[in-house]
Amino acid sequence: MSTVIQAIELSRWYGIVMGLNNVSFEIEAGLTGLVGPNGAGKSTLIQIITGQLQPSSGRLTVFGLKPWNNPPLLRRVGYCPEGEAVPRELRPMDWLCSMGLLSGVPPADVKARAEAVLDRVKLPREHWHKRMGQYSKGMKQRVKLGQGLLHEPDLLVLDEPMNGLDPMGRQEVAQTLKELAAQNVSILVSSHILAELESLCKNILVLNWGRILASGSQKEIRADIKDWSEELEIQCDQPERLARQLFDAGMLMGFDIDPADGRLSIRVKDAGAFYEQWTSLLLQSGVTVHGIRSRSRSLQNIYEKVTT
Amino acid sequence: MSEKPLPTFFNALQAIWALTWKGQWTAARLPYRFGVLLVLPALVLITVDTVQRWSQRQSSFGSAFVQTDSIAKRLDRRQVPLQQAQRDSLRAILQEEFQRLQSLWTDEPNESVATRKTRLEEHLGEFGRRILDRVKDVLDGRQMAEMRLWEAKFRDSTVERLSAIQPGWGRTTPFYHWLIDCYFFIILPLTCVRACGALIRDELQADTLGFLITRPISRARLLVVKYIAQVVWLELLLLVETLLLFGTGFERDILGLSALFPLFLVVQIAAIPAWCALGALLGQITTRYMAAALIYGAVVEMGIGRIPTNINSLSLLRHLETLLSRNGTLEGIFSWDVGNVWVAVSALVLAPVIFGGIAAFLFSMIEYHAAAEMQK
Repeated sequence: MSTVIQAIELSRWYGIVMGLNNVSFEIEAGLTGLVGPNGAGKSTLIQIITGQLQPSSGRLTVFGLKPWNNPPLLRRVGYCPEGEAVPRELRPMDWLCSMGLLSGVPPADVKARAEAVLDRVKLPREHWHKRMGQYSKGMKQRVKLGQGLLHEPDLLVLDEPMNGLDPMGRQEVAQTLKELAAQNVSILVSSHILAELESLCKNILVLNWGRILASGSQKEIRADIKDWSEELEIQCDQPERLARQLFDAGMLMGFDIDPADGRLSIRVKDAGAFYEQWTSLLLQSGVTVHGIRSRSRSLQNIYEKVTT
Repeated sequence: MSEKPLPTFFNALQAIWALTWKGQWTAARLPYRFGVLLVLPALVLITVDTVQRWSQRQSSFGSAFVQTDSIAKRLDRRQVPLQQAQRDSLRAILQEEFQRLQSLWTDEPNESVATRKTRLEEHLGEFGRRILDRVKDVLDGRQMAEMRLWEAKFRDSTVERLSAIQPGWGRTTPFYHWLIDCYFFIILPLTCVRACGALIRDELQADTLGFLITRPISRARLLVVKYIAQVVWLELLLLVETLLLFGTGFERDILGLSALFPLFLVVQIAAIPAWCALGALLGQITTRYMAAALIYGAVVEMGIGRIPTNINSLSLLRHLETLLSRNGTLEGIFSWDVGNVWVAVSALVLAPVIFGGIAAFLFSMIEYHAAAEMQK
C-alpha cells in the first residue's frame, strides 16, 4: 500500500502550548480514523495536513509534498472542517458552484458537479433553494461534506463529519465514505464517536497530549498493547460449568458471573490459544451457548488502553 | 496519477465575485443597504436650501419694518415727523412693495456681476417708482422730498451690496463641503478600509476561512481576487452613492456640478483601489484595522500630509486634492495646497500595488487561528 501522509518528528507549538509533540507516523491509502480527546492535537494535525498551518519543526508530507501554500497538492485534497460554519446568506448551489470554480472544476461542469454531490450527500432537493442559515446542523454537515467532494480529491480529510447527523444520516455518510474508499479515495476522518470509526476505519491513529499513542490497524494495535487481554461476555445455560472448564484448561485470567441474568464474563490469557481450543472445550463442557460478545475488541476499549 | 487542472485567475475571480455579492442582496439586508446609501443625500437635502427658500431666507432686499423705522427716524431728524396714521399707511405700502420686490427677483446662477448689477438697478428702479407713486397721497411735500432722497440712497446701497455677492455661493458652498469633506475624504476611505480590512477577518470570524485557504489557489492569488472582487463591488456601490449625491445637487441647482461630475468620477474610481489596498494591508496587520485606519488618518493624512515639504507626498488625500483642484469650482472653494498632477496620478496607481503587494505577502506568511479571532 502506498503512503499518503508521512510525518517525521513533527511538532507544532502555539506560543508555549504544545499542539503536536515530535510525532512520526505514516498513513496508508484507505480509510483511517483519527482518535483522541479534546486538545489531543487532532485539529492541529488536520490543519497541517490541509495546509492551513505550518509545522514548527519536523516535516509532514502529503503525497510526498509539503501542503503549505501548495495549490497542485491542494487540488488533490478535499477538506471538511469541524463545526457548522457555512456562509449563512448563500444557497448551497451558489456556494458549491463558487467552491467548485475555486477548486479547478471547469465552469461548464461545475453546476452538474454541484448537483451530483448534493445528491450524493443526500441533501433533499426541496432544501436546495433555501439559504444555508436556515439549515439544521445535519443539513450543513451534508453540504460541507459535499464541498469537500466537488473536485474529486484523492485524499479527503474530515474533521468530525458525523456531528449533528441523526443515526440514519450517520449511516448514509458512513456508506458514502465506504463507497469513496472503494473508488481509491484515501480518507482521514476524525471523530469522537468511536463506534463509528470502529466500523468504518480499518486503520486508526490515536492521539493524546500532542503525541501519537498508537497507529496501525486495530488488530496491530491490540497486539502492541502489552497487558492486552481478550474480554468476552458469554450468554449460556450453565455459566459456572463453562467457567470451570475454561479455568481448568488454563485459559482464563479471571471470570465473573452476573447472578441476575447468568451472564459469564471472562478475561482470556492468550487470545490465540483460546480461540484455537474454544470449540473443543465448549463441546467437552456440554454447555449450550446462546451468544458471545467481545468487550475488548471495541475501539473504545483500545482507546482506553492506550490512553491510560 | 493524472495532473488535475488548477483554477484559472478568471475562474477564481468569478467564484469570489459570486461569493462577494450574492450574500449581500438578501431581503433582510436590502433595506439596510439602501437606507445607508440614502443617509448622506438626505442630509444634503435637509441642509442645503432650494434657490427659492434661500432667497427668502436671505431677505436680500431688506425688511419693510426696518425701512419704515429708518424713514420715520430720518423725518424726525428733519423736523417733519410722521403722524401715526401716516406711519401705518407707509408701513403697509412698504410691506406690500418689499414682498413684491422679493418675489419678482430671481438669482441667475451663471450671470456676470455687471449683468446682475444692471438687472438689480432696473428691478429696484421699478420698485422705487411704485413706492413714490403710492406714498405721494400719504405724505406732504417736505416729507416726499425726504422720501425721494431715501429711495435713491436705498437703491444705490442695495445695488452695490447685492451685485457684490457672487450669486448662489452662500447656498451652494455647504453642498461642496458635504461632497468633498464629508463623503470623499471621510466616508469613502472609511468604507473602503472597512470592507477590505474585513476581507480575511470576516471569514475568520464566520469560521469559513478554512474552506477558502484549502482550495488549490495560492494565498497571494486568493487575497488578490478577493481584493479585486471587493473593489469592483465598492466601485458600483459608491457609484450609486455618487449619483445620488450629484442628483441631490442638481435638484438643489448647485453651481458648477456638471463640470465637476466627470472629474469627480474618475478621481473616485482611482481612489477606491488605493483606499481598499490600504484596508487590506491594515486588515493583515491587525484585528483592529478601523482603529489603525483612524490613527493612519491622523498621523499620515492630517499630520505628515500637511507638512510643506516633499514628505507630504505620503498623503493620499493630498494627491486626491491635487487632482480635484483641476476643477475651478473646487479650487475656488477649498484652499488646498496642491502638488504636481503627475506625481498624484503615479501615487494613486502605485498605492494599490504597494499596499496590496505587502498585504498579499503577509497573507502568504501568516497563519490564522479562528478561535483567537472569534474571541475578538
